[in-house]
Amino acid sequence: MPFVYNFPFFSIMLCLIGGIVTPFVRKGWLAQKLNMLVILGSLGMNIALLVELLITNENFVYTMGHFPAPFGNELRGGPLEALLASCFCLVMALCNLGGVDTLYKDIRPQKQYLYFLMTNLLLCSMISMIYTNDLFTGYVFIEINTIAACAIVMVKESGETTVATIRYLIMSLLGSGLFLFGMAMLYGITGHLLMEDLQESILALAATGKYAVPLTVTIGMMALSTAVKSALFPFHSWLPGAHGSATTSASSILSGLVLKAYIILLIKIIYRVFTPELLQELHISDFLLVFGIAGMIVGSVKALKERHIKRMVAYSSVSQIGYIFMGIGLNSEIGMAAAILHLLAHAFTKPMLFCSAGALVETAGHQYDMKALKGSGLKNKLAGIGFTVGGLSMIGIPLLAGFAPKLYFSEAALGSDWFRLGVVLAALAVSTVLNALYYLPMIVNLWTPKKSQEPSHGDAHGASQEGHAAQEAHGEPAAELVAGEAAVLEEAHEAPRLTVSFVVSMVVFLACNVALGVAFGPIMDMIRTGLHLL
Amino acid sequence: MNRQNQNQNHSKESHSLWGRLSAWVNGEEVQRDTQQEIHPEVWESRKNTDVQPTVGETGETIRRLRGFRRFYIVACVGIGIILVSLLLFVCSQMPPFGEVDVPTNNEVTQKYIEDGLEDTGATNLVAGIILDYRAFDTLGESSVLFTAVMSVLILLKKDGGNGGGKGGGKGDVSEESRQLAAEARFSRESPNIVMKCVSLILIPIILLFGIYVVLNGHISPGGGFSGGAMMGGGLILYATAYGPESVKRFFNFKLFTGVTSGALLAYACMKIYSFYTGANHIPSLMPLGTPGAILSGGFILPLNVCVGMIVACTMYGFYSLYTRGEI
Repeated sequence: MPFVYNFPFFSIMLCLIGGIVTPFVRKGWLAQKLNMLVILGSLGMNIALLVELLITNENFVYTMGHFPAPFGNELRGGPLEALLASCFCLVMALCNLGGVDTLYKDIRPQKQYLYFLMTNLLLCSMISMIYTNDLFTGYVFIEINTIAACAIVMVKESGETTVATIRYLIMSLLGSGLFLFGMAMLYGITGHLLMEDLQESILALAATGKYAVPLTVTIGMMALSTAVKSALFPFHSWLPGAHGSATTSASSILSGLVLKAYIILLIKIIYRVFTPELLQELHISDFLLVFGIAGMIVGSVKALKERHIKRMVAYSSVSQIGYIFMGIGLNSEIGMAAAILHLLAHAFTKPMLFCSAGALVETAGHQYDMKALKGSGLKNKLAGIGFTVGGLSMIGIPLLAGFAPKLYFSEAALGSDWFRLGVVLAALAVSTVLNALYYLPMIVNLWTPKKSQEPSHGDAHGASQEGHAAQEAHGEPAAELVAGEAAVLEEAHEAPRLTVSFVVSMVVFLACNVALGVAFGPIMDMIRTGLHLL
Repeated sequence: MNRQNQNQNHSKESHSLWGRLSAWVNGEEVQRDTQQEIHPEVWESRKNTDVQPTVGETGETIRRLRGFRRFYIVACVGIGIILVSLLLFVCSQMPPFGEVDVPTNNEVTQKYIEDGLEDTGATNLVAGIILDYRAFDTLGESSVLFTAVMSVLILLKKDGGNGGGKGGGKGDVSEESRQLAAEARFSRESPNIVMKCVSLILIPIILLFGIYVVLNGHISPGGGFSGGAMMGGGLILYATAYGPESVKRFFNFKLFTGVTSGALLAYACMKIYSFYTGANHIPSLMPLGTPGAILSGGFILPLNVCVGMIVACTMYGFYSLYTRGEI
């Protein structure tokens, strides 16, 4: 066995140990250095593994301990898993870099190390969910992921984040519970937890028609649980609160990675446990398609009504998750590959949007409202460019990351029947127009200079009151938007300073975005090879 | 609007059984008939004094919320009934429990039962399965406990910014420490003679039994999780009877993080060694020993000790953070 095959295990353990030793550190900046070291270490290892697997073009099984698979635990890696894990590490590093300035302001010094502890554990859980070959191992790391994801929202400790965390926690636990139910019933009717053995017995059960009801309900529950956890349309209500109120890095991580980890687990389960054919036979994929399309439209419409920049970007995530589920629901190989490509495109775009939105909010003096953000792109050009490129990418402008997936979604629809072709193409068109309708005004707004005759203090005051009113309209008390504070924050308003970490994060995000938008062919090939080997 | 109503109803309902039950369900302090049970100063500090309707709760919102509440109850009951009946139906279709020819009775369980002792060296088969065969899952579970206690630390640890309950935002340190001191003084001075006497006898037995269960985890029923829960319970009883200050003499925050992280770190390091050697087909240097002896079972004994420490610390940590916001 080549030594690189140890790397998934090493990267999981590196992240876990990074999390475990963080309480000994107790200082925010030191914890951040440790966190960055851990992430870059896992990134390096996963890239090395990816290169090796692309050369040999095979997958492998890694026994965790002295006992082989059905008795012990094991990991399983292939090119797709290595690609996803590398991207996750990279995005995680960029998220923590991009939001680090706001992070030190949002989180009190005594708790900063705990934030970095939680991100280490999050990365550990997500890498494990990517590489796992055992349903129960997947569930254990879902638990870690659930708690850590809530913790990074909560760590900001404002009233708004606490309310958002409670909602997030309840929905997320509902998802975990459904997964556990599904897994227990699956174990009851098959007697296995390992994915290969599960698939074998499930195919046998499906052929004989034995235990048909429990099997159907189980598949439904698994799909439902991942849908709840990744905020598919009817279960999206927790998302804007949690992603919109958390600190910048946390929002980026949650939208860019945490939502995706469950989708990847679902794709693994579909391919390695239930098989796409069975899913089609039981019409589960049609449900996913319908709700995915509904999510695309509803998310965009909600974003259209939103004036709070971070909540708008968060609603946009609902719509993008809808795209991914639509791809999965098309249930063809190219649809699945397009879903994974869109997952990557969104993972590289949405954190960039959140990071630049966070910086713009700081520039405007801690104002989230669209009016108050007017002209802030001119004051903080890099963040403005980041938001512009991100928004255009989400709309689906060619040469940016968001374009290629839409192309492949249409291609996947062409391979389907006439009814689906019409529905999917119409949904794509409508949703693209809606995306443009809410991103373009915001982008134009960012680059429009503010009228200079207005006294800046009074302006901030008025905007803050408006922000307050806008927040109340959504029934959530705005804890931070106090006029006095806005006046204090005027200092930051005048002189936006670019820190090295923010510049690095933005530049790499932009580069990745363009790379994904230009070189989507090879990446798509990689994904398709990976899907074959999955 | 909800809270307002409750405040109004509080006075007339609080003495009835139903009123107390609903207050308890809603997570409020239950108004006792005899206030003497709680020190007045402590009572004052615990009472949530700033329950006021927020600015948004005007007539329109109240009407909207009332409508939503009605819909909510109907939807809850409907979805609940549908889910329960669906799950009951599914359960009736599942293979019966305990029969010979059910799918769960397959080669995996057979292997565990037949070769478990030889493979793991543990006479307690459950310990052998969770700490040797499927040790990665258990490492994950222990990390879940660690993650949970660290999250509670974020939420509840008082450090001058989040405590006090005054608006949930900026409390001040002196106020917090005054409250804590008052609670500590109260628990020191309160004449809980029965509790103190009983716990004086019970606590050593509980702790000793917990340690016994942990150390014998590989040769008798029990193990790190159950023994650790006992030890945590003993600590909680001690803190309840003698006041948190007396626990603090030997178990402070520094020791808490040290033990929790240290034990989990030791656990992870042992398992890294065993996973790495297992995956690369290197024979493990850890001897399995004679099954049944106290020093046997390879890594299972030290792993049980680590798990026990994590569980005990986590339980006490939860109790301490939820009651006082510090360890």
